[in-house]
Amino acid sequence: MTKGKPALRSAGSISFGPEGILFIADAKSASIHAIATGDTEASKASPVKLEAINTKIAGMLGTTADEILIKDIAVNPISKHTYLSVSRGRGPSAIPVIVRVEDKDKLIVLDFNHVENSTAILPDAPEDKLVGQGRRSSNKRLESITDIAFLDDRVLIAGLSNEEFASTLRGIPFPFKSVEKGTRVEIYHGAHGRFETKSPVRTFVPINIGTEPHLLAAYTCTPLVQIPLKSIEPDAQIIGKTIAELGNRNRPLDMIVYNKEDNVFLLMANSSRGIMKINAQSIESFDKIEKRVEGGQSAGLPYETINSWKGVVQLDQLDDQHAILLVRADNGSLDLVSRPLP
Amino acid sequence: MRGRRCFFDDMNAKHYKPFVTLLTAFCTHTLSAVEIQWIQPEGASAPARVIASEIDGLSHPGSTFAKGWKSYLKVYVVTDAFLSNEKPPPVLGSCELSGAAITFTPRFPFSNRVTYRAEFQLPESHTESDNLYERKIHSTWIPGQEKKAPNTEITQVYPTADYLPENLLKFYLTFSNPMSGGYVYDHIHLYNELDQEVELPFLELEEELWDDAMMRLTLFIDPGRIKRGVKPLEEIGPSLVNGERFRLVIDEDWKDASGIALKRAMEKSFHVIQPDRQAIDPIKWKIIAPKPDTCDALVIKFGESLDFALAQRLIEIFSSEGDWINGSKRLESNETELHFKPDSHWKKGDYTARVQMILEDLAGNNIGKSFEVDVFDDVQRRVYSKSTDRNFSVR
Repeated sequence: MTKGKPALRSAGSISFGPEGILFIADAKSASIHAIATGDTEASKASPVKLEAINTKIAGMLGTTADEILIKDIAVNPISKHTYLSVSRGRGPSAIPVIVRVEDKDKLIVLDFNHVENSTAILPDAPEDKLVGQGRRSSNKRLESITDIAFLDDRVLIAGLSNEEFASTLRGIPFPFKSVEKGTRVEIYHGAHGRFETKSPVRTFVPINIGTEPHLLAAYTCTPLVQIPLKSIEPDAQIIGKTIAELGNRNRPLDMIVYNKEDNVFLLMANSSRGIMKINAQSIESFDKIEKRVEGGQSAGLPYETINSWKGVVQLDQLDDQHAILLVRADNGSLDLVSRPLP
Repeated sequence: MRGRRCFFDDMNAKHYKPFVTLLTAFCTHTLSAVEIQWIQPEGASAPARVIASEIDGLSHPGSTFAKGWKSYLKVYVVTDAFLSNEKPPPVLGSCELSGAAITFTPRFPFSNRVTYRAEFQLPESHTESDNLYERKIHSTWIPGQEKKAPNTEITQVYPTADYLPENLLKFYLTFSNPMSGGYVYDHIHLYNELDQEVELPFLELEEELWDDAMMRLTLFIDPGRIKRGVKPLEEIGPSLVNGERFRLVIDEDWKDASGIALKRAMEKSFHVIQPDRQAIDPIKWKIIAPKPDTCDALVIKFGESLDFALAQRLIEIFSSEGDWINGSKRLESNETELHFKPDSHWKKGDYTARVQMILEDLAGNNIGKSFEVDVFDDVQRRVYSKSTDRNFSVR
């Protein structure tokens, strides 16, 4: 990492690594930035209740709530401060901004003019190497990064191109060196009775199953798939184990894994089922889903719906007992609130 | 109470758009001469900074008053959201002191669509009154009121064909100017032939699939909503149905990057036909070679519509020596033909059209591989080659 100003052109998904290092997915420059926030003092989580945080952040940035987008939230596990990745503006010259929440309701807009940072550039689609710079610069191809997470020694990135319908899952070792190519992950959609190679990963979360690190990935029309971390190698074709089929009217938005009373739970925010709490303890021994699931029902791991948590658009774990949520209130404002984990 | 107009540098005045200044009372001599000016450079549609000048008391640098100068001038966004008691947060920025004036420069440029209020407020200890209104002056900048005419439209919806397969995978929308994102799916609707809106037909992603300039948007039809086999999907139907007509409608209230709505709504009506589960086979393509010593177009006829973006990006022309031939590409006849015009004259000889295997037709089938792989088919471990060639000669 070198001290300076990272060339941040956009900020989407964010996630924390070790020692207060914040990873930022920058789809516009097809890169992941690692930034040392310096926020390394351990502390307890404060309860958070920031109503209309979108209006407040917009006010600080000199604009109105309809001119900003809150793209993601992530909690620094050391300081328990919540960070938000924000787009100031909604056009091509939108400015990426990272905001930190301190104490109960103090908002700090971070300044990256002089920080320790390093950048990993995601490789172009392989076929772009065929021709020279001139052609590549006229490419309209961009890869959207749908989710990132740090696990063990690498940053995991789920991406989707804006042209070919191909979704990628990559592991980039951190500290950054060179970036590996995409990994093709094949999964089996329980409800559709077929192999499906192409669905993009919407959101994923690292989880230890037994002693092995895995990813739980949620795909569109929500099958939930378990992928061993060690199988995510360049050009690998992996069969992910479908462990839940949650019905096809869903858009999974965000997931966290937490422990409570000796159980491991998965909490998933999705578009139409609200918040689902799934007991993940038995994943290890769970039989994979391969047969067709009838009637659009759910199959696989048992779950419950947390009815009182409505309108959740983002979530992350705040500490052992609490989650931090970005909730869209009835009047349209976005509130940042902490709540006890269910 | 005295009314006072805010003004700005004379040299900028003639291009300045109207605004309104409100002034409140001031009862101490310290505020009697203070003026707030919005500095708007020539040609700019919003101020660059704001200056509070003639501040009596700053000329005594050692005084407590002078030492506290950084906190006196603040700017706020004026919006309905803060009508209640709660004070909005001040706009982030930095203050500079110069003589008897404080200049506030925002950290992010002021917007030409937002109303701002600059407040110069004295600390309590320097006024004779506790009344807040008597130790504060403010000035409001209001954006220019003239309505800008809509200037942006949708130039095309791809695929352009009127008959589309039931397992269509995506649409591309192209715009004449950069657009604004964030809520794109609110502006895009798919209606069936009963004029009912199809629920959630598209893959709705937080990270929308724009190109860099935000003039092209990719819409994927949710693969979970593409009809497979004979049985219908449960719970929620397929997005498209063979034999029926559909309309893709784009609302005109979708704003472009300047905040102005589109010129007009856009509608594409189309018929849905049977699904396409056939892989692309370049061997079946028809190539019409150009004549030597011309810049005539090489024409490749696919025999079917292909993906608008990929057919242009994934086909390249090489000479027999392996030199890449530079030129411009265009798709014609509802994306069933690629026309390639070289930058330099064709020379006599053999050429290769190299096509990447990830090329897609409208249903997402690739070369040699269809979109779906049936588990009951014999699924060999696939060996992926990257590209395939079609050779042609210029004679």
